[in-house]
Amino acid sequence: MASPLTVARQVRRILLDQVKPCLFLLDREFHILLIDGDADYFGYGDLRPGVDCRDAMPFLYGLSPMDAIHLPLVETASGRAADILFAPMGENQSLLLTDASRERAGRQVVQQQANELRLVHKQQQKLMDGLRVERDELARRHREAEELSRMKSGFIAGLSHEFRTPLTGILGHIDLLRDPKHDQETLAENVHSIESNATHLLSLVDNVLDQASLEVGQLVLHPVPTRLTAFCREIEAMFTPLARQRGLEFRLHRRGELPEWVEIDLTRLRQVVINLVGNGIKYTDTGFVALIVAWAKNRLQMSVSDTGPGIPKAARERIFLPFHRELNTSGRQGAGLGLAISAQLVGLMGGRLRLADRPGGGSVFGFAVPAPQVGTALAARQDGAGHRVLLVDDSPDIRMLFLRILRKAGFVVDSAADEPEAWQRFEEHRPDVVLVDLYLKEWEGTGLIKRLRARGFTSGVVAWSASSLRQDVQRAMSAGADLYLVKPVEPAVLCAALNEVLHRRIAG
Amino acid sequence: MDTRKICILGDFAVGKTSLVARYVHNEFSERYYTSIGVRVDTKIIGLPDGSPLKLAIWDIAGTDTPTELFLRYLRGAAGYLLVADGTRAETLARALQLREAVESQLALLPFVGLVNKADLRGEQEIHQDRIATMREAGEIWLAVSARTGENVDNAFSVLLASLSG
Ligand SMILES: Nc1nc2c(ncn2[C@@H]2O[C@H](COP(=O)(O)OP(=O)(O)OP(=O)(O)O)[C@@H](O)[C@H]2O)c(=O)[nH]1
Ligand SMILES: [Mg+2]
Repeated sequence: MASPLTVARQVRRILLDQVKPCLFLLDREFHILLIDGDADYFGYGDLRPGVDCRDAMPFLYGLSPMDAIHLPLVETASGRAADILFAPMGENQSLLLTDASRERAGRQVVQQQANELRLVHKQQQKLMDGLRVERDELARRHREAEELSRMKSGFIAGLSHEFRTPLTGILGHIDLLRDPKHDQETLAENVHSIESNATHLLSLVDNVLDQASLEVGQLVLHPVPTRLTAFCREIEAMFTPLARQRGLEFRLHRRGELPEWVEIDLTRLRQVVINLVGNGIKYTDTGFVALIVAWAKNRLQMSVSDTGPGIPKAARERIFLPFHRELNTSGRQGAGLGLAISAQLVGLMGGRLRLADRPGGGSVFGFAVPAPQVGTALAARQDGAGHRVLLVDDSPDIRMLFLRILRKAGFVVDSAADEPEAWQRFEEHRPDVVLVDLYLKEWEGTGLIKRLRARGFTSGVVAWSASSLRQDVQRAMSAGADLYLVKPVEPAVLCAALNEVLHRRIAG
Repeated sequence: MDTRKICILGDFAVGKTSLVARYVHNEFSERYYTSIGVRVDTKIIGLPDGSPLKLAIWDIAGTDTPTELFLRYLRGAAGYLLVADGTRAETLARALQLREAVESQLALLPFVGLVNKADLRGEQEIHQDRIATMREAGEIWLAVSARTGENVDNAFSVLLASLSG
């Protein structure tokens, strides 16, 4: 049987083996005075009395000689962990290292698992959040699509009515025309009614087609030099009598200096302004409708205010959506597309159509779109100035009409109905600019443009067509056209466009 | 040689060990091995005036609760890097708690805030405005990446520049 002393010695050895205590006695400059224990275990076997031990034990930096501190789980030079006890001892300091490797290893496994779990959890959370956002977005889009489809159905129902009314009118008046006994006056009345019904029908069709083009992103802008003051006068002339008929006043205000010429898609601008002013007049019973025009920093600002009933807050969000019928509840006619188209056109032109309350009652619709000023040089040459134009179009009516218009504007004009005739005229007439219809019978306008360019014709080519599809525009431009116009083209716009092309050719 | 003790503080897995490995050894590992306790690395750098300076860099195990022990590790530090993980917004809040503890219980030490893992561009959760607000309050915050090394040397230089003496 072992003596108590032997047992005590054995226990002590086992304990020492477990704890691996290693004591360093240091002076106030951290120089080693004495080492007792297995310094090698911690990677400090090379340290000898006399050296500054902080080089090997950088965890001692920052401590001052009088500090007493216990630092657990510090990594030592051997990579093992130690508990460090640092304390003053008389004039000197004692530094005791005991092994903490096992404790660190144990904790490491537990902590590693815990942290990884938290990271995984976080990842899951992120994924779920992402999915939730996506789901909400999908649901939102679904709701929008449903709403749109609901509005479309209502719209089509309403539209058939809108179409039927003028068509019935037209057919009725044609019937009356068949009556051989009518006099000159009723004849004129009938023709006038047919005309106004047809005009209304045409504007309905235009709106539906515009909305369709906007929906497929096929509507392209065609900015042309535009005379702002002339445009204002045109709007004034159009709406003053209309307003008067409804017992209203139409006011036009020009704020500040307007440039003579700006570049903008006049057709679309006109469409928006007519729609806004037209709505104002339609929905206002007493008072006035005002159009305010201003121009600053190459942006054209327009606002249309009225003294009508205003638009209820609840309806505002929907009012710019296509197919809404908010404004039609009062039983007034309109297909519910005008504002949606206007909003989208303003967007296309680089602005935003906004709606506000008019102080004192009524609404204000306003927008600002880029409309860079164009030089007076261009404006000065606005008349045809004897430039030679060859007009190629298979419709005799169009040819006749525009021959007259262009001649009146000062151009020297010749025309052709098809490609062979176009070539003949081309040789004789030597035009400065050729105006080509894209969709001609039997052959395509783009072919003619290509062949013109292939023969070295370097002057202006303007393509025009009833199509505003992007691919048609691209086809014409890549064939060599300088400009593309969508029919119907206002005479003023056509003249401006021809001048623009002539100017570009001269300048270039 | 002059020496300075600086500490790296932050929540777990924000990249403290990775930042030190990048700065001292120019190394990076994708693997995550949780630190326990502390590990002190040194790096000798040249000061603008040409004299060398030894940095003792304390990589302290990540924590979200500033215990007495945690604060003990900071004894004698001249300043610290406060690290958050840009892809986990909550680590910024935790970092700010750590700073609060240091400032209230220890000292107003100079620090430089780091938003690590800047390389994970699409996954950032800490908004630029948040950082901008702290910068407006006079704090230094840098976007860094231990993985690419982006701004890592700079982070240490900026901290050194803000240490007094
Ligand atoms: N993408 C990317 N990953 C990083 C970056 N820095 C660190 N990581 C990764 O993030 C994880 C955690 O990095 P560590 O450096 O171990 O983090 P720590 O802050 O020391 O973590 P604890 O020691 O647990 O407190 C590891 O998988 C690293 O590879 C970085 O800049 N970019
Ligand atoms: Mg670590």
